[in-house]
Amino acid sequence: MMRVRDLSAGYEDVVISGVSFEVVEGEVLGVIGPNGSGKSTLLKTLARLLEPKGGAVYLNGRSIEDFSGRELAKVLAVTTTERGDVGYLTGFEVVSLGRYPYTDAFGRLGEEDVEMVMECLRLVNGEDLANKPFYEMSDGEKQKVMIARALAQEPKVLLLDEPTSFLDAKHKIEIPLIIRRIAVERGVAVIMTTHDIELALRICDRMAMVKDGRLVAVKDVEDVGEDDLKALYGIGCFDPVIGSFELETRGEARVHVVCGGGSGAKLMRALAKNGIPFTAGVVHENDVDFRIAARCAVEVVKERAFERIGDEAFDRARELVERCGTVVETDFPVGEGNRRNLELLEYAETVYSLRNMSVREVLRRLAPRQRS
Amino acid sequence: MRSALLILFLISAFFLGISVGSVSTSLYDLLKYLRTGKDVKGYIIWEVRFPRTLGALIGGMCLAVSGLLLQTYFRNPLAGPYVLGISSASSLAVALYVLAGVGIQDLGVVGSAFLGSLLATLLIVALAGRVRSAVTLLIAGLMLGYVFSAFERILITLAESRKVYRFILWTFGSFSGITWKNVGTMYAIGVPALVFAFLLSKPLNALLLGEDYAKSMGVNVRAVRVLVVAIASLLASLVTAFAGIVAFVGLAIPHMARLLFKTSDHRTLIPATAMLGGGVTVLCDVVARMLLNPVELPVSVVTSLFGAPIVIYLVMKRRRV
Repeated sequence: MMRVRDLSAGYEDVVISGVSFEVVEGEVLGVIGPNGSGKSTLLKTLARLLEPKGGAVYLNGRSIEDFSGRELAKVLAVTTTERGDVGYLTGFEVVSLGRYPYTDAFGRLGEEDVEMVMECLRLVNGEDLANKPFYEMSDGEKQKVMIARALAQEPKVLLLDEPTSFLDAKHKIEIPLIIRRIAVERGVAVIMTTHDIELALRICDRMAMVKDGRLVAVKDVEDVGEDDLKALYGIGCFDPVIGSFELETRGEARVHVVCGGGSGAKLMRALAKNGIPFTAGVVHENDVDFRIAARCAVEVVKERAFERIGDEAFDRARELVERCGTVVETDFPVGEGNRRNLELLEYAETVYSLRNMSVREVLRRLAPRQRS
Repeated sequence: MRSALLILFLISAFFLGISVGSVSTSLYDLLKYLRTGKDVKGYIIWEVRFPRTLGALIGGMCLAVSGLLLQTYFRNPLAGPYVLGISSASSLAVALYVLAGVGIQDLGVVGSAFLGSLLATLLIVALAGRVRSAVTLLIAGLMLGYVFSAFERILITLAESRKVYRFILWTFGSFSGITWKNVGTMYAIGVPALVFAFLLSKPLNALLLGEDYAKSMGVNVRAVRVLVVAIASLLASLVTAFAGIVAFVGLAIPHMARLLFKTSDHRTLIPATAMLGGGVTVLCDVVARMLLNPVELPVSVVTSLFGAPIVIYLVMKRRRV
């Protein structure tokens, strides 16, 4: 569908260079990377809003430089981060501007045009926005209308620059779903830049990673690992398996957490958030608590999935418990595999239990000055 | 309904324009003059008030549409016909003619003003074809205006006070003294330019979203930019040549038209702005004649008195262009 060959892009100077990739119909490609890495410049060049500094962009084998403005508008549509003031135009009128390459010299809409405009509004769940003035819309509604406007061009390739920035909770979920629907139902190839990695991992098929003016890698989303993101952003607390960022803690552990089965997740996040260093274990590698502890805790003692807790793990955990003195027990479910965790509690001087305390109360006990 | 009211307003304004003045007249006087060619009051109506009112009418239309085009193109609610230095250029040309006696003597004030603003138009159109974005062009236009004004001030500093008075009065703007011949020129250039502006409605609508979006929808942004700037400047030049610098009409009327019709669609807005601009300018001209009768005020005094409060009001509650 769209093929990019050794593309360089920039305004005065080259901002990003050596970019090659391809997208096929029905595919969503996410472009991620730090601020200033050249994502938006790249997208603008793909949209022919900027002239390439080198290389070329092909649509179905034909360089976009060879398209007339009208021809290109029928194949390629874009939304930018610019939210202009369009005066009194209504949602319907804004979307109908997308029919520009199809209408006559006066922009008069035929019956099919009107139908197409309404269809595009439907596709973004925006029928109710048809008669609403654009200036009265929320950011999310405006974004929906702008996407519908792009769709009204009947593009084969849709370029979206940060479509999920500045949205409220509802639209942050709804707009990605709409993008997915556009790709799957319409077979449109979507290229979108985003800062939201969690979201990109959920809705993109592939990710293009951009840093310091280079395309670092293009990978299937399933193959994107923590190392990729660490290389990109220089932060390592993202877990691609559960798709979330976790805060790290450092220093001398003040408390040991004995958890399992997800019972410790909230507590460990709360400890990390309040900067209380802790250790955790024993947790099984297949436990969601392990994914969080592995990032938040100073040290975590682990056991292989579905195995009983062995001596080695137990002894290490006992050392940690004895060193801290204080243990929080998270009211975890007990089974054959983790029964020895109960035994661990006997080595502690103080045990707080989430069975009869809230996370807040535990925090208050652990860091009374901060909490007062 | 609103269109009907607007047309009614336009017609009433026109009738006021030809019937109100320091000499009271009647339709009978006009008919008598047209039949016999001998009636002083009829002469005043036909040879003075008619051309003057027709001049104010087309002048208001041109300024208002010029302002609308530039407000849309620059996406700036405070843009007006003179933002690109047209007025400064023509007033520099008039200053050269009146104050320094430079220029082609046969041209007179009107010709000098027109020549000056057309040269500025060419300059700005040449720039429009080269710059990358609207903002660059806007800044360049404003700066050009300052340069022209600087030269004008040099001339004023060096000139005799009698000539300065005449020059300053010209810069205030007035539709008095417009002849049938002038009217012919104004309509011959103004009407085609207005029609041309109307034909740009489609790309202007796309430009509401900004140049990037317009381009992505297939608008030849560079060509449209040159056309918009050329037409807007031509319209402004035309009025400036015959009536001097008429303030505020170009700035305030497009806002009133948008408020009145609750739309930003140029297919409606351009005709509405033209009619409203014509009608309001004729009315202002009538007020300028009558307010301190028999002394005549410059029309800009009236348009400013009436335009400025509207602009303040609009800027204070600004939410849209």
